[in-house]
Amino acid sequence: MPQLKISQTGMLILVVGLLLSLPAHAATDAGTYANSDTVTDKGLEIATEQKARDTGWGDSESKVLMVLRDASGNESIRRMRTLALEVIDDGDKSLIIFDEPRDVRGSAFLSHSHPTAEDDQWLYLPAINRTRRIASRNKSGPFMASEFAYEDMSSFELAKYQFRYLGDEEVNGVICYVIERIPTDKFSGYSKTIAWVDKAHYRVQKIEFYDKKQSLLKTLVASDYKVYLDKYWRPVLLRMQNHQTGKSTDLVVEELQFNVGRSAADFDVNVLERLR
Amino acid sequence: MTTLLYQVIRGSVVPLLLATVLVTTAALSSAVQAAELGPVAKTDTLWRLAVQARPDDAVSMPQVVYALWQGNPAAFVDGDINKLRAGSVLQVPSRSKMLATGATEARAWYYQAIRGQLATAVQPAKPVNRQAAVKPVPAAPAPVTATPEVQPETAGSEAAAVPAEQPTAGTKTSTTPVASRPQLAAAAAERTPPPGPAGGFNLRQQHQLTVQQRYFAETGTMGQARAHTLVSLLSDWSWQDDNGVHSFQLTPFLRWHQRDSASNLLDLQQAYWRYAGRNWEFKAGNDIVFWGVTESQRLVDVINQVDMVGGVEMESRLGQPMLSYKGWNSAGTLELYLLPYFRERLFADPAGRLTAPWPVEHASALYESSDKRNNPDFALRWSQRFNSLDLGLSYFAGNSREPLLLPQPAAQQLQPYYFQMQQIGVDAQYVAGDWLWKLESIYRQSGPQEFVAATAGYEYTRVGVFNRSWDLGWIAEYQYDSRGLQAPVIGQNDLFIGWRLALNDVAGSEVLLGVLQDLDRSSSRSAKLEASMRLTNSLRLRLNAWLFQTDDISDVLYNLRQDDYLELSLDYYF
Repeated sequence: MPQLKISQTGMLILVVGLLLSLPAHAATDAGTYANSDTVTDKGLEIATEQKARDTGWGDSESKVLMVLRDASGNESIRRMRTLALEVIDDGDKSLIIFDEPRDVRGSAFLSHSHPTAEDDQWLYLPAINRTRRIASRNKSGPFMASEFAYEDMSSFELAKYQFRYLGDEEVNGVICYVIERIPTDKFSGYSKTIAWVDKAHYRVQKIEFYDKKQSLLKTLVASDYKVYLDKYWRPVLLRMQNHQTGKSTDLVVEELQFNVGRSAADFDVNVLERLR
Repeated sequence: MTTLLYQVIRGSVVPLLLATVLVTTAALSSAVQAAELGPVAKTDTLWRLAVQARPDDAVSMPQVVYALWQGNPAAFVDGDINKLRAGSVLQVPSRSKMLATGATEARAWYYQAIRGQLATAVQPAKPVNRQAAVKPVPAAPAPVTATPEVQPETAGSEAAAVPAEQPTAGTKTSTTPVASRPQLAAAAAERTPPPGPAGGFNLRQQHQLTVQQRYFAETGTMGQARAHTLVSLLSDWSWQDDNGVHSFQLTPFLRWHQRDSASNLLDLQQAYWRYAGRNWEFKAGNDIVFWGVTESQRLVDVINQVDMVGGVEMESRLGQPMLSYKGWNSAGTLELYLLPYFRERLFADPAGRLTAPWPVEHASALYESSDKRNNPDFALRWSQRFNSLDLGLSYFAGNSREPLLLPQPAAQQLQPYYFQMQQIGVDAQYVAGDWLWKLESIYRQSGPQEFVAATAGYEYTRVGVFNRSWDLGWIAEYQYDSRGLQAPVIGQNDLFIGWRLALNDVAGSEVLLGVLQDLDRSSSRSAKLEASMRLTNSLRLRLNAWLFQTDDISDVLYNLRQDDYLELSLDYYF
């Protein structure tokens, strides 16, 4: 890629912008690419394919272990069970039941996500047999004190980002598309993320998260992919490294099953108190 | 001649013309529907192909999937939609064919089919118009943009690993390996259901042992001690059968108080059998039911009796014997309760502090109802969610949970009197961005009294305050009681302001600070601090502190004026 000086880049943006009346979002970094429409289209195309390949899985159930590590290497453990249901024409539904630490055992987090609108979320607290609705607009906070934010745990929806194709690069030994994703949600904790998606199976191999000040905040590496139902690839290990604090979190999928027969009735607020 | 010519024309040209018109029309209509999809690549999913075949939004995705499946029986191994044959070419049915099956039926079928439970009622029909498949050359590009190099006949192998619509034509490779066989075998093994628990019933248990130390700032008004120790054990056993239809729950609570035997307690908070269906459940036995949304007091929550020893915030409850039914559908959730046996309010004796100066004599309790404790109480609640608004309406009739305490100066005791009461309650919560707006209001007719009370306010949460991953919530609630200064409650015209700070750290540290200011009596106020943090995976440390200020002898708070205290608790979970 040609290295352009800032003034040249600025001129180029100005000229290209005047001539082609590019949409503002595409013009911000247009200096490095000849045609921003092309990279935007291609970015969306790749993301669409990635989403399409992960459609039709129905429902799943898993056991998850999280290992939280501070900067000096001290570890603490989180264990949970999750249920997920794919919802046609809307966001997916998910349910997380916490097993460890012990003081939150039996608590459950239910989310009915929506691609564009705010998610509906509830927290069930067994100690007082109470289900609380949660204000869900801002999902940038940490999930269970881990390096994963709530928004990192939510399902991948095309409407949540603007995409740009940045090029090809090898990561984890596989050739990947490099896609920039700019969150459309202004309450996102990120200015952008950059995802490496492999060409063979459209699996996310790595994601870099940039904070609101445009500095690199975290890197997620996904590995040990396994295929389910002959089509759906899921990583066994997700490792999130925070570059600013030195903390990291490993998310290990200990068990995963698809087609467990869950339906929307299993994700109703009223069944939360049945969970143990 | 002319006639003959005319006849020839009539006899051959017109049919010919007609035939041409018909053939063209047929070809055109096929072309509009994009005729076929494929050949199917190994990595294709039926859903993705259906996305391409979907003519417009009026046709639901399951309708498209169903029509594709119905029209292409040869493309599926054993008719299983999860087993799409690589290399096959799918005939795309017409839009009207897709719409022939109702969206609801198609959806129901789809959910069954993706689980491999094929609906037997819907057998694959004969291929649609195989004979009429003229293989028209589409005038406009078909949804499949790139022509695959591999012919359908040979594509049964794993050669066509790259999907036909590979977006990066420039970097296209047709040699990408497909999933290796061992992985596929592993995936197949994952699909088998988990082994059921032994005996068909699944037991889960957990226990919580709590040691509490209370330190009072001063000696009590009756000369009570300043340091009190409490120990409690909460056990929780639940059994559930494989399909979750029958379950049993047992949650006994045991408490020992160092200085006050009246505060000792063995209570079955939960001890019930539940019989549950998809969207309804029936329970028989002891249970604790939570109603309400507000933070500073609980008005509508009326089913369970209060355990006053549990704390002045009055959040501890006693198990209530009941028969209950709960059912829900698109019209909301309906709960019905029949409460055959009454639990009296649990008060500490003066030795346990945080109570009235005289003991409450339960043995002499009076009831308005001639059935006394066996008065059949009844309650119901309907609740519904309207987008961002949660609304609940409730009704209760039976023994009042809140006794009138009649002083008996001779015996230096308080005699509880339980009126009959009827209560109508409403609770609502509205979610708007980071704001939760809350309202609870009741109308209660209890013996000679009739009044209205309400709590209304908001909780506003900011995420990531002070440039850290902390959440800070602001809580403001106004408490109202139409009985005014005569109300036997603290919050008759009071304002609660609170802050909730969650550090989101590994220790799960949380702090809640709240002040309740009486707006009628300017010198009456109370303040509470609740803080907690996790010490290890199974230990949690809690700190609670309360301050009570009043110089008005008519204020309920007056009983607590010397009871400022600090409470340290250690919870051990096992």
